[in-house]
Amino acid sequence: MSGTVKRLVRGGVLLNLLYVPAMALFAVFIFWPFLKGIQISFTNWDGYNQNFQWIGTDNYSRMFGDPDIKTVVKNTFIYGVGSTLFQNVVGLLYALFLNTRIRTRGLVRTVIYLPVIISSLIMGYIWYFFFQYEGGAINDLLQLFQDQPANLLGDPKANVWIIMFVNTFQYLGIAMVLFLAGLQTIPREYYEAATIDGAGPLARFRRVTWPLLAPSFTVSVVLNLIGGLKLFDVITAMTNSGPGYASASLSTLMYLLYFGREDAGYAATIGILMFVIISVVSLFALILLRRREVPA
Amino acid sequence: MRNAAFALLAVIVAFSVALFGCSQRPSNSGANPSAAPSGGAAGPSGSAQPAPSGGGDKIRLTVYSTIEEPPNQEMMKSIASDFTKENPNIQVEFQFPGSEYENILKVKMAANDLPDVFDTHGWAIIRYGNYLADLRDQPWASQLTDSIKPVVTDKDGKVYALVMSEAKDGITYNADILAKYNIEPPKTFDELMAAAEKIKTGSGGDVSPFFMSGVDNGMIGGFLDIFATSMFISPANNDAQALLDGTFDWNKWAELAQKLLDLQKKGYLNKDVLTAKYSDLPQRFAQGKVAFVMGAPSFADDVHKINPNVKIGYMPAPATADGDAPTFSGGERYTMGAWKDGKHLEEAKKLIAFYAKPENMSKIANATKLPSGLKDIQSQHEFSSYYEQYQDIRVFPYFDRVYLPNGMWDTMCKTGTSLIAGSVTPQQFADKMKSEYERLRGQK
Repeated sequence: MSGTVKRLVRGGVLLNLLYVPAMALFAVFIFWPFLKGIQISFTNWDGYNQNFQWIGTDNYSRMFGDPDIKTVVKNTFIYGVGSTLFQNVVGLLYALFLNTRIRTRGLVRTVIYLPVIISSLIMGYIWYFFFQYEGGAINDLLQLFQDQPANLLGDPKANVWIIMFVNTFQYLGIAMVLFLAGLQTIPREYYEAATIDGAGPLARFRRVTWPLLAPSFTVSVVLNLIGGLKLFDVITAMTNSGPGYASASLSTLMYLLYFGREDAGYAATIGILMFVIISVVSLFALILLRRREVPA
Repeated sequence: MRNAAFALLAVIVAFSVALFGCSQRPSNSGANPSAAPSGGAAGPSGSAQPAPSGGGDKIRLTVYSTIEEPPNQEMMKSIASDFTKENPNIQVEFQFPGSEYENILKVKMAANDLPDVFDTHGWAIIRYGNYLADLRDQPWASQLTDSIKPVVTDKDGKVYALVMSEAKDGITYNADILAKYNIEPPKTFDELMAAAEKIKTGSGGDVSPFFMSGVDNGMIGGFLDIFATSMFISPANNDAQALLDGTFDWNKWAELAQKLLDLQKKGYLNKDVLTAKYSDLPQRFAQGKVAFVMGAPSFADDVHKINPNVKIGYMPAPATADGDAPTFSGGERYTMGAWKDGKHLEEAKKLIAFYAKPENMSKIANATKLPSGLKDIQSQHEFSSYYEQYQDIRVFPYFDRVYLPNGMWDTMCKTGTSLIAGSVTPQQFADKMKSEYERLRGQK
């Protein structure tokens, strides 16, 4: 090793240089398009024309007066917060169950994790066939008890929750794996000490498992929140955001505005709103959850 | 420190050069590997490719088409293959992106990097006009049919595309069902509603008079588009000028929206209209569960695959105004336009001219089962007799292409779906159309 390289390694410079390709890629494919997105949100660009006008904050004032936005933001929160809640509760229960010495542990873990590896678009289509009006499996069952099939995906009051359920079902495995990994890092001695002190299963969970699982909880919640808040594929496959925009999320609305309504300027504005919502919610969750983390 | 700065600079420069290299558009003509210096270029087996024996560089033309049916795609490729036989130095590479076609083309327009030849699918002038070469001097240009010529020609005489297939959208019907209930193809909207009622009651609800899809909501938009022509453009007293100059009374749209809503309220639509997909249509049509479908019978082949015995009929859209006659909504279906800034514009024009040959246009008409966009093209297919029967029916350009600003189609489809879902009223639909119309007109 030459003297220069040695000095670079010792000074940590070479290590820092290794960041450069990743940073450059980030700058080109994430940061630069993000800045362009902000720029476009102040224009009336239709998405393909070489010419467009600056319209100041018109898109932003339009967004606050848009009757569809309220529904779409509400849906986005149902997909984000609802999925996170169910994924973590059920994922934790599965992890606790699989952390015991049962024989089929490996098999159960694989089965629960399996949906994660399926494309979410395909998952949406699979569930569409379950819920569809004519010939859908759910309706075949329902018709054992009632005459008419239920138009579940066409009902705006039901389809948002169905989509949330499908997203929960698919990514449950990630929460489970994170919790399982967290559970396996908790030393057995803590449980033994707690048992000697007279703690029952519930007290052991509350006093030992729950606080020491906090780091896994933070990662799982933040990942699920971000994934749920930008949900796209399942919605497109199951309802195409419909009826109208009744089941749209901010992601699908942005796509529909850009490509369908040729309203790229406004779509960029929706993108900025989505960025703000995801940033604020996930940062808030991160700060809140970090506070309750304790070192193992 | 100076060394560290130098190393950092070197990495950034190297990376930038790499990125710069990646961003270069691939050259279509000069990329012959054999043109590279031979020293050391061959692999271990010495397998460097020799130059093509025909001499000169190979030109690769990229063609994007909206054709989705595999047999029709093969038909297009076979014509291209004949072209390559005549022009061995020109290769034709087809892309059929299907439902993503429009999105891909929009991205390509934004990047100002279009295919050499592409389908304008109804938007030759309004959307793609600035990117298309003038084809007025081509031998086929004077042969465009009278109905399609104004659609792809502007006021200065620029011809934007070869129209291989012309659209004449009316209503596709299950002829067996109409025969069973003794119904003649309706000529007025009232007759159409009476026929729907007869089918609904006669079948005890087993047959859905109309099929639409809220997921593929272009079917709902299609109903509105076709009957907007019938209500606002076709009658002697019409609103065409008001729509063009921005003085249209949008309250009238509520009447059209009410017609759509009535279809649902009276039980004339499939019960799962909001969640059904277009792909559900062929099977239901083949099973005799659907009587009328708005638009052209482009799904006929899929129906016959399931049930070859179904007889499919075709008719113009019934008149909605008293004393008016039925109409077709028409325009471009499958077209070929040439990118004006393409590297191989002359070759692209040559390819288009090859497709415009009468024998090739006949092949296209027979495969797509659509009327040709050029005069005197012979065709014989399942629907030829219908097009002959209705050859004197007036063909109006698609309503939205002429009277609505670009970008309103989606509003019409989405709000139409919301109307059926009960989320908006006909008047709210009309208000939405008005506000979008004014917004989009204002920004063009």
